[in-house]
Amino acid sequence: MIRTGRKKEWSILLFVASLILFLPPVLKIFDRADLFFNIPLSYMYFFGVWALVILFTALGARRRMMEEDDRKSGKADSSSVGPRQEPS
Amino acid sequence: MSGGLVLTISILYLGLLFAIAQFVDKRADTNRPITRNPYIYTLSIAVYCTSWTFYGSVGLAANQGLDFLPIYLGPTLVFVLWSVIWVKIIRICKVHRITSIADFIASRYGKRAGLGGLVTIIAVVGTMPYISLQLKSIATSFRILVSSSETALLTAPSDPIFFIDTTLIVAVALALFAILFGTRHIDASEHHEGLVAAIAFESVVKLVAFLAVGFFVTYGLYNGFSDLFSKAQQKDLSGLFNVSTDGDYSLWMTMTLLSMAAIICLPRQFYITAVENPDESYLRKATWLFPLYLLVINIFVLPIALAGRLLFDGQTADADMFVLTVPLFHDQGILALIAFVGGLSAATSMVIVAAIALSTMVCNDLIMPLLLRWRVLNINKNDDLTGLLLTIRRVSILLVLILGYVYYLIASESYSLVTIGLVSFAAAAQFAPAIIGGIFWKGASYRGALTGLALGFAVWLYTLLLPSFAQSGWLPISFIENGPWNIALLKPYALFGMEGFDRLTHALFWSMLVNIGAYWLVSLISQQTAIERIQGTLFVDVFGHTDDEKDSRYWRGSATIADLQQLVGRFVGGPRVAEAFNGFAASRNINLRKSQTADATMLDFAEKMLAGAIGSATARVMMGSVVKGEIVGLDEVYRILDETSQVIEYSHRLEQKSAELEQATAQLRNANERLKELDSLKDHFLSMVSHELRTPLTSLRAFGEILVDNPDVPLEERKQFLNVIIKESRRLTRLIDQLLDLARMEAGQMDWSLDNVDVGAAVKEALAALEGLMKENEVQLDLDLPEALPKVRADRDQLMQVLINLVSNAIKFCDKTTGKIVVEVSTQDDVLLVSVSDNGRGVPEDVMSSIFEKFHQSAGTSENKPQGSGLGLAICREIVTFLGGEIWVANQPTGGAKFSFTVPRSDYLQTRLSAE
Repeated sequence: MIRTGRKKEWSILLFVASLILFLPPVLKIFDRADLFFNIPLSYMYFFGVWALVILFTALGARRRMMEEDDRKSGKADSSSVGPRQEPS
Repeated sequence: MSGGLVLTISILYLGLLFAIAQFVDKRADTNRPITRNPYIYTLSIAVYCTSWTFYGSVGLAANQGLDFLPIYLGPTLVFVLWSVIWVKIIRICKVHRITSIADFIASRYGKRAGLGGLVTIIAVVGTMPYISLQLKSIATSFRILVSSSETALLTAPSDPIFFIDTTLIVAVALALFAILFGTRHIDASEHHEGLVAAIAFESVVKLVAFLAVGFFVTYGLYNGFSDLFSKAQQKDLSGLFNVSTDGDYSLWMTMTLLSMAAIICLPRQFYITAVENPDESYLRKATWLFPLYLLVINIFVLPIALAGRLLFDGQTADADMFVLTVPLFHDQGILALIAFVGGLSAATSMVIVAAIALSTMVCNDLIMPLLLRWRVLNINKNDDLTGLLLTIRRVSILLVLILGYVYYLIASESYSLVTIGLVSFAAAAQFAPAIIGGIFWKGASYRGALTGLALGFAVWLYTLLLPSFAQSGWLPISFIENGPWNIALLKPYALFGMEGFDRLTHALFWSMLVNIGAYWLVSLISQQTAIERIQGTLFVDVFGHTDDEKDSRYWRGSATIADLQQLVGRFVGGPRVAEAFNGFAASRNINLRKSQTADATMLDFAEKMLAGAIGSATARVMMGSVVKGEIVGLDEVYRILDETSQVIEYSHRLEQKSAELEQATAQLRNANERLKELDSLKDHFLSMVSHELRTPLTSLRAFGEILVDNPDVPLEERKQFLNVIIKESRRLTRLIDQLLDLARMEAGQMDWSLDNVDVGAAVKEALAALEGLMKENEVQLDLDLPEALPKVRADRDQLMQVLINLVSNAIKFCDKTTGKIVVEVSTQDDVLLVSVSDNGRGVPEDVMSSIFEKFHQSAGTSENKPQGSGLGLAICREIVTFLGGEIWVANQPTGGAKFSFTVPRSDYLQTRLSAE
């Protein structure tokens, strides 16, 4: 379990990793028209990595959601104003 | 398909949207709306997917393969960073009641209307191509759908309907719809629940429609992805399977960067993501759901494009319309209609949100500041301005759409949808430095932001917008080919000789170079005003400041609650304001009386409420008109806010304190030493005094005892003894008098009666008083007194006292046999010099310095008993010093001492005083 204070650092790490994966030169390795199982490698690569990035983002946000829920269940009134502390 | 059917369906669809919005708004008024949840929020952000996505992506994919992807990868990357960027922006918007991107930037850089105006102009001009893209897609798709001919599938007919250009009709219809939709209330910061719900519904419609076409193409026309891809490969379409075949990724990177900037900086994205966000925590879901939406809507882009290419093999079909033409070709009328509605929903959602966001900006940041400046209109005195605000907004919505139409007429016809859209993206990207810099860098200044934006916008105009006019024939084409006035260095697509890049990369490079460069450089060299520093701190440290205190203590003047309520009511509407004020009072557990003076928190609340309606810059001006007295102690506020400066100030104060302390310690030490000195002096003085008193007392007692013990003392002797007793008593009295005088002088309690004194007369009088004594001692007096001496400023009695003391001293110490005393008076520049000399032994060298001290006696040096109290010279010194002169003693070469003193001349003193 990752400590809660590190969320921001993790999201920056994920951002940098995605940048590396979506930009050349790494991109050049996978950006090929060859078919694998009749699907272009490039197409598979982009949608696959994209889905992974979304998955990791969701995981990062989900843990925060749970903490959030814990906090909210403690409060009687769940007002429309968001939590008043920095999510990090 | 009949035009009537398509029209009816379109109108029904728009009617449905309206009904949804109305229904949700009604519910929102009564209780907490069910639509307020992270899913609706996410779907509303998906307004990002417009006709560009729906039609344009397919068109791009059909020609360039996967090049359409960065437009969706960029936003994904930004949402990965949600906790760094979005949460901060949203919190700032909530805290400051930001209504638009122009408001955000203007507010960050000191609430200056000029910057807001510039941002608005850039946004309107930059959005123009984007809106024309939507108009074009709706008009084209409509024409394709209603014309049943086969050729229409290849090139859309451009026959006017009812003799009016279809696109113009679409523009006007959308404008009316947006007006009806977006300008129902006035407080822009209050969330438009209905609008958001309708936009979310549109996002569902376009997703479903696109997926339906995608499924039909992939699984209806082909047997899934692998079948489609392998067929395409056989037809030599494998060039579309990847991004780039020649390894050039500059456009890919440019588009990634642009779309990253666009998801934040496009006015409508900023509006729907930040301004319309109902709850920060929704972002936690949206941060992965929105990218997921993008991913899902893009899965079938390439398949549809490939299918279209396979279908219209070799023919020059409009690839942008494949989503529509492929089902139509296969006689899937219903599916084509669904696709049309999907495209319509994509376009309308964008147009509605963009029009609302832009009209708010035009109204709050462009028109209102101008109206306030033109005092002719007397806008300050009008009572209810909500109507005016709404009119301005409605007119600006119409204007925005007409502008979009104009751009469509001028430049759009010849371009593909994506090319048009990217021009808009590049314009929106100009805001990125000011926004990102603004929330992370406190030092960014107003001038920097203004210069950067202006220069970036100018370069964008020159390298992207003007050339598009030239290519459509509205400017001479030589503008592009040879540069203006045939200056090759200024060719808009190869500025300063930079060739070999695509137009977008070229334009982005130059515009960002000057934008960021100027922003950075000018920020560094220009001074921030106090309010810029405050806003910078509030924006950058938004989490630190919102947690503990809510009021920013901007206003320090006074205004009554009634004034405030009336002011805000003019812009927001009376009942709504009354409700809000009551709610505010209730939340703070206070009672509001109309005549009560509003406190800082109340003023802050009112300003933010006003800002919600008319933007922060205008709100500030309006508040200034009501709040009397000093607007702000800005530097003070800043000092309170800025923690670093607080710390610096603390340490500064500490330093000051410690310096003061050191000084005080030194003073104390000095004082202590002086006290010790005085203490020892006092001891010395006491012992001297008691000694002096004891001597006459002893002789008094001795003679008294003799007289008592020997009653038979002869009368002669008795008389002599009694005379001694009297003499000693006098001496005692004189001693005590002198002591008292000295004490009074030293304490500064002596009563001086200063006057212009004739020294000659005083000398004569003193000598006359001592005549008897001189005779008794047989002393010869030599007086040297010049005629017509100037007068001196002195106390006559005290001056005589000095003379008497000195002369009697001289008598005492002069030669006993042939005593001779010389008294001289001479005139000097500014003083009179008086000297008394004798012919005695003189003053020994070792006592020269201490002879004027108290109780100094020349006893011991003389075989005679000391005469006098030892206070005479001390008194002389006190008097002379007080009168402003000096006294000293010197031995004469002929023997004997010479006491001299000076007294300031009164005429000299007068000239000096008048000179001053």
